Amino acid sequence: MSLTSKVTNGLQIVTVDAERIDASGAIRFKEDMRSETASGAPRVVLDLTAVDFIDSSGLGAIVASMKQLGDDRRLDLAGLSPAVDKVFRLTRMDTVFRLYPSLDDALAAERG
Amino acid sequence: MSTNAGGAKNAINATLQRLAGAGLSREIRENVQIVLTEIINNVVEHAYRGATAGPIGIEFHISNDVLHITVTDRGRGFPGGTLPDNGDADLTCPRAALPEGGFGWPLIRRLTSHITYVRDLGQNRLDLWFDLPA
Repeated sequence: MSLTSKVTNGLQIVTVDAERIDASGAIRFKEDMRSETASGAPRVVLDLTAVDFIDSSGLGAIVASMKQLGDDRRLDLAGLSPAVDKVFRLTRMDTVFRLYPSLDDALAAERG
Repeated sequence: MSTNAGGAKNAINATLQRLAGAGLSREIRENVQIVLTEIINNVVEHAYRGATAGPIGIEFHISNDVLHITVTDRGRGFPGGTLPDNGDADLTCPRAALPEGGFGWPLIRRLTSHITYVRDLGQNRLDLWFDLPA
């Protein structure tokens, strides 16, 4: 799993550079998220724009990534493709995460 | 096909391409991709757990308004001989208690109209039906 990130003003954007987050990459994703988010920006936005497919293992890894942040830091999700968005809604994870259609939408929500 | 991750992905992709060729919409193909990925993850992780590889078959048939897909394998059967019946997890709990798994069957059940399972002569057979919009 390839992740890149940048931190500005208490906001960290983590970008997933992969087309899939699935069973074969879920554990690696969770570990990479742990190291990327080790420093404590209070809000982390995970940019999923490049991801066109996620399975239940990938979903579990994103939940685990949020839990790793502890109770006081937020993980928001941005750039969900229709298939990725569907998996979050059908499992009702849209009640747990804030989902934004694009990274710009997620950043605008921060300002607003 | 064998059950390594690459083989499974290729078999699902081949099925999706044939469904596209048969004129099925992107939305139906997304649903099939999600369901087949979950089903085959389960075969690899449970039916063939501990084994190096085993055969998995994917066949489909399209009638007027229904897509019928059959998935077969020769691994262990489902415990108790029936499909798991787990529903949605409670997501109103504290963050630390949120589930990190158990999402597969709710996804499979939501995206199909009907599922049956039979085990016969050492073979598991799952039949999955998807309604096709008119």
